[in-house]
Amino acid sequence: MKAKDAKYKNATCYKFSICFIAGLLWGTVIGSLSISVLVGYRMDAFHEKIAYLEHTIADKDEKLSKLEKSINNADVVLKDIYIILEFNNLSVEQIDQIDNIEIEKAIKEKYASSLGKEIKSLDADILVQVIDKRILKLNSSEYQLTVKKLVLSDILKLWVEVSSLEVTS
Amino acid sequence: MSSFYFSITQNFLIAFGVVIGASLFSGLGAIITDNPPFKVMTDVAGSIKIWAIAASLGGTFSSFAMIEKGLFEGEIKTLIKQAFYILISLTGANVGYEFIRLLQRCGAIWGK
Repeated sequence: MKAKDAKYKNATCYKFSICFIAGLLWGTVIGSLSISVLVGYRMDAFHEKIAYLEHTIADKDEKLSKLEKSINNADVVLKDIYIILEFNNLSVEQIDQIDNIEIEKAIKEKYASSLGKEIKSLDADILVQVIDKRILKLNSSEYQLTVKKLVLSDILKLWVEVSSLEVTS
Repeated sequence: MSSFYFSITQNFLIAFGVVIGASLFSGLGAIITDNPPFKVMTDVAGSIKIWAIAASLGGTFSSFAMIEKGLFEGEIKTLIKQAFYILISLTGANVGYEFIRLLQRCGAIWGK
């Protein structure tokens, strides 16, 4: 009787374990398939976004490298002229603002032909000589210009000392 | 049920099942290998259609043999039967393909 019971128990145990393993396997398969179907669209959307972003990055990289090349190859030209006037032996009150503007305008006119030229072709010494020790006559006053400092890049910066001259006549 | 109805039901469902099963498992594979699952599923469903038809017909050779018999020995009834089987398999494979496309469309609707 006991042997029969043990045999029955073993058979039942075998049945349950087989059913459990089959259920586990089928559950895994069905579950993973369901999950793949459920999250599939979102994953597709992410992949599309990644592809789009990669394309955008590649496009931007190409543009950037071309720009870098053009920057390296392009000759630097003179784009602007800044004049900084330093008035010698004149107080702030004595400085005529209109004269100030006129002096600046006159100096800029002298360098106008240099604008747009390659910096390599410009000689700093000659640029200094253009206005150095030059006397400007404006309405009722005369000014002598002395170049104190010059910085030449794509912008020409000139520090000019302005000395007022007494008009004799 | 006559063998004809049994055959067409079998052909339809086998073609349908081949497409669906292959697509679903290829989708699972795509997730594991980091690929877009629905794209892979539709691609596989589209490319496997013709094989699903062949599989549902139980290998193309018997079908071709029947067609040859129908053409050269004048058995028109067999010829029509085979053509109908092929048509049914084709329908089953296409329904399976559309089923996968439907999943994709549902995803697009719910994903928004």
